[in-house]
Amino acid sequence: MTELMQARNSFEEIIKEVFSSMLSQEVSVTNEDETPQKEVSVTVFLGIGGLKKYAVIFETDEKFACSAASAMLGEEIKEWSDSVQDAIAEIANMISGNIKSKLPEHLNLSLSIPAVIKGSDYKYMSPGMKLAVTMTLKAFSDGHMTVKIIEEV
Amino acid sequence: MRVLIVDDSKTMRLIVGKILKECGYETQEAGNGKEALEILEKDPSFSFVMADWNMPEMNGYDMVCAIKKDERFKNLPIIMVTTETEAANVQKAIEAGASDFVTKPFKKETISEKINKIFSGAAK
Repeated sequence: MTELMQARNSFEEIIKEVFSSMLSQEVSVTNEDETPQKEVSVTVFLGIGGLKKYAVIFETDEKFACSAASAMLGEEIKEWSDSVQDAIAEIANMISGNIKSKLPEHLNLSLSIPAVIKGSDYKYMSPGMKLAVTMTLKAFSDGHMTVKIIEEV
Repeated sequence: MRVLIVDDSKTMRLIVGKILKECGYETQEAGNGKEALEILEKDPSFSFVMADWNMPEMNGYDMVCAIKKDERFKNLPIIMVTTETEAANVQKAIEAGASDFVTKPFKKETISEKINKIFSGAAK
C-alpha cells in the first residue's frame, strides 16, 4: 500500500472541508466503483512535482461546475462561463494544495496552476504514472465529481 | 482603509473582497504579483495587502520579496491567502516579510481575526 492510499482518509476530509467552508455544502465521499458511471465534460488537472511526481485530476460535468460556482459566489449561475471555469479551478486548486501538504515535505513539491479542460472527446495519458487513489464526491442532490490522484511509478 | 487583493483567481478575489467590504474596507484587485507592484508604484497608500501564493507571472513569495525591498513598504502588512501549509514555505514567506497566513479553505471569521491581529500589533 502506497503513502497515498494510506492518506486517503485525510484526503476525504480535505474535500469535505473545502466544500463545507467555501461552498457551505456538505458532501459525501465514496469509492468510484460504488458510484454509477457518469458523464464527464469538465476536467481539471493539477501537477504536483518535485523529487517525485503526482497529479490530481478532477472529473465532473457542467451542471456540477455551475452548482459549485453558484454556491461559492453566492449567486445563481446556470450556464458555463469564465466565472464557472475560474470557480471550479479554484476548488481544485484548494483541494490539491491541501493534498500536497499531506505528502512528504522532503520531496520538495510544488503545485502547478490548474488546467481546465472542457469537453468529453479526449483521452489523457501520463507515461510513467499510475492511478493511486480515486474518490467520488456527491453534492448538490445528484451531482458528482471524481477526484483521482496519480503518482510516479 | 484600502486593501489590495492579489490573486489570479477572480473567484477568490470576489470572495475575499466581499468579506473585506463587510469588514468596512475599500478594495482594489490585482491578478498577479507583477500587477500588484504596478498598482503599488502608482498608489502606495494601501493599508495592507492580501495575496495568493501560487500565481502566474509573479508568485506571492516573489511579490513579498519585491515589495519589502522598497523602503516605502517596509511596514506594509501582507497577509498570504494560500493552500501552502508546509512549515518551510510559511517560514520562507514570513522571513521575506509577510505578516501572517490564512490557509484555504477559510471561514470569514479567520480573515477578520488575522486583520485584527495585525492592527493590534500582535503580528509582525
